Amino acid sequence: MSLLEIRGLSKTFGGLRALDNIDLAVEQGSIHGLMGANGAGKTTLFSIVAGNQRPTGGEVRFDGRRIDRLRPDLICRAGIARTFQIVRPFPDLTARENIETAVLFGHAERPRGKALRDLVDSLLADCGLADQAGQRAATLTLAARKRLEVARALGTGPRLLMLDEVMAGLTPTEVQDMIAALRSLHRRLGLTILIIEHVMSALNQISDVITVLHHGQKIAHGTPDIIARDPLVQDAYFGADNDPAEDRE
Amino acid sequence: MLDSLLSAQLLFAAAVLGSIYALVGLGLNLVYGTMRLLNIAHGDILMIGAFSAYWWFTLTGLSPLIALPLVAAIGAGLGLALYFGLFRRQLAQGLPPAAIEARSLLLFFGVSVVLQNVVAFFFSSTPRAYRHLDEVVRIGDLAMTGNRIAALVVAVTLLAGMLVFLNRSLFGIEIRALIQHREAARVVGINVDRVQMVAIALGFAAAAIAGALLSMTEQTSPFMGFRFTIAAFVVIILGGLGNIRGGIIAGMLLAVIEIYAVTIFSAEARSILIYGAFVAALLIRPQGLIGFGKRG
Amino acid sequence: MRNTLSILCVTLAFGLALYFGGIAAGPYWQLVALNLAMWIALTQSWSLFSGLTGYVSLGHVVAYGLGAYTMVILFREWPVWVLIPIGGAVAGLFALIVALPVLRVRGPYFVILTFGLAELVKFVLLAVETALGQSSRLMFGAPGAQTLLAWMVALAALATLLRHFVGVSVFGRGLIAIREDETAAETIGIPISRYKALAFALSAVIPGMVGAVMALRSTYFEVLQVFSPTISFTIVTMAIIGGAGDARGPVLGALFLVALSEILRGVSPQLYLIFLGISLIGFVLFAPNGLTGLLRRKTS
Repeated sequence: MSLLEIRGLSKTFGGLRALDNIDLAVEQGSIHGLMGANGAGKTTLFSIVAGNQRPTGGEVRFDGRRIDRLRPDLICRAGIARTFQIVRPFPDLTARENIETAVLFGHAERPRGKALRDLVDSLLADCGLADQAGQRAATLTLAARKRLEVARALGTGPRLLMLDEVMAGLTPTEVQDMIAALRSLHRRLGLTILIIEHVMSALNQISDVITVLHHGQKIAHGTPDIIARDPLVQDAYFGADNDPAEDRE
Repeated sequence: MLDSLLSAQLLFAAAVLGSIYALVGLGLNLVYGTMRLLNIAHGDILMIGAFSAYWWFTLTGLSPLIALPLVAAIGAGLGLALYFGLFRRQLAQGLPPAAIEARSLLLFFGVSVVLQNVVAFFFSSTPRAYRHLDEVVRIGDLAMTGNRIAALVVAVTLLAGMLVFLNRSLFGIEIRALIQHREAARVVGINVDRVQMVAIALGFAAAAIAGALLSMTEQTSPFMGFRFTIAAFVVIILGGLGNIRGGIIAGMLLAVIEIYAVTIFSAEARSILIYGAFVAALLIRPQGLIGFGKRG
Repeated sequence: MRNTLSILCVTLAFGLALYFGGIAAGPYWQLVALNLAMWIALTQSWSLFSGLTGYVSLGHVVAYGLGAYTMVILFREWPVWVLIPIGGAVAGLFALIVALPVLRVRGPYFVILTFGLAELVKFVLLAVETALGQSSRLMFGAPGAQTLLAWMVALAALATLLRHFVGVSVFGRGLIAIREDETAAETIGIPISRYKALAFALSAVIPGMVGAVMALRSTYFEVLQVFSPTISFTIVTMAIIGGAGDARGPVLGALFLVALSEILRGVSPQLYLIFLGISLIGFVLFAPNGLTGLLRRKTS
């Protein structure tokens, strides 16, 4: 059974169909890429899975249990964490406090005392934030805030981690660092990752499978090799006015 | 009973009050719409206008209608003083709208306390009234006092004038552009600073004139403003941000409901109704005023 | 742990000083001490909700007024020491009931909504009282001034400790996260609606008790006076002047405005309010983090 199973998911805003009857299965332990031009519906899909938005139709199952009517905090405690494309750390809290808050609230059973401190320390180290632990989030660089966004999501102790363009706006070296960090976390924590990325090469490097959305519809699904050769994808993704490397920060 | 409810008398009273509400709402619409300043001192500007008219009449014995340009100038002057003293620099910093709203709310709250108490300090808080144009004109069953007719005529003329100004003149179009798309307005070369100055001056002048008109028919006191601040918010929440026509309709609607409530129940029903409408409007549109603006 | 102990000691010392100082210095200062304790209790309670969540309430007078109203209508039925907590409970319950619809409204709209709601409650109660033929109510046989001062100081201390300990608790961290970014907060597992409602209700309880004690102090009840929006305004102004970041702010803000009030009210109550307004404008423009913010800047 898949860890995350989406069936017939639709979302309309006014007259616009942001998502149109989407089916998607994310296998336990996989890294699943989600690709598509701006406005393809990727972020909307994240928002629905995380409970930030309600779908117009269809259903979402996590570990066999329906979650598409649950509140975001309950979905989080069930084991799903997301990052936001435009990062939203708690600006007045330090990096440590940001992660600590996620640890305190995201777990079904709240770690305390030394267990809490150790967990936060290891997350700070994993995401390369140990040196900035005491700094207010508002004063961090963009790259550091992106890592903090990931660290905070990890802090909730998820089984499924949804990453929304965590590499956009980073330099090539920073992208490689992020890929290495994600791979190691994936292996060590046994995470399942659903990742949206505009940096194509990064997505190809890291994903086991890729699903391509276009104008709210699923147009392709397969391993990175297959996706790269798919004529529909090439047409939709590389066609005319879409720049895949576009930086939206 | 039913006869009296359908009478022209009540409708006339509602039209007078409604045109005042529309004028006050229009002023708030300009200030909030162009700059996102949450002016909770708006009713106090009306109070200043009412006091100016009162003293004009008491000291010169001349009709406050002659003094309307003066009252407008006092309102506009006050608006410009606050603009330059408190808001211009902050607006130029390009803070997000939510930050501007929150800070302006606190600042105007301070301004409101200061204005009310300065007036109470110098003129005491005893309500004041004067008799001017209070002879009754009868048309059939309808009995109207001259001052109410005058208030209605002036308010309607001003509303019509503003409507034309905002829809036809270049400056009016610039103001509406700023209400709808602040950033875009800057990009297309609108002098934002100048438009903001005009908007706050006009908005405050409209409130002051509404106060002068009101002073002919109601008692004037330093703490009369609250009710009108709230009414103005109801008007722009119901009528739509930046929507002048919608505001006029909303003002009339509010006045009709209020006049009928007072007639059917009692004078206390007035405040319950206005605040009730205000609370209901905000609860129905929890995202506030902007959501409406986009629709209308 | 050491921090906790020092907070307890400072609060206790300040409370005792306020009580015994007030009594020793004669009736005038006793009244000043009562006022100061009242404002500290109200502003700390306000800060517990508004300071932590960022939802600025301009309607806290309702809690105060409901406590006073409870005391006045039940004064002859039940003993006073029962009525004070009941006043708090009534205020808290009312906050809990309105919380769900009201707390959906965010930002500045929440501020003007709470103001409008407070005025609505005031005029509804005024209509009720008028319908009952009670334009004002009197109470006979209220406890003496010293007893009232003791209770009020206890409430101020309680509110201060509550504000402090909630502020450093996990619950408080959740509230701060809501202030910082509500969407992010719920996405990392914070039950935002429940937390906001709980904090809102909690912040109304002590003001309700304060209102009940103040009703005993004035022995006279009139809706327009007890539900006056000036009380909400003063609370917000004190919190902003003091700084809403921790439990020191409300104390400093209350000290500042009570001192200003004692100096100017004798001259004219309007003059006091004029200066209150000017102070508020000044602090918002030049010291948005209040007196505690200024102190911190000086020491660091």
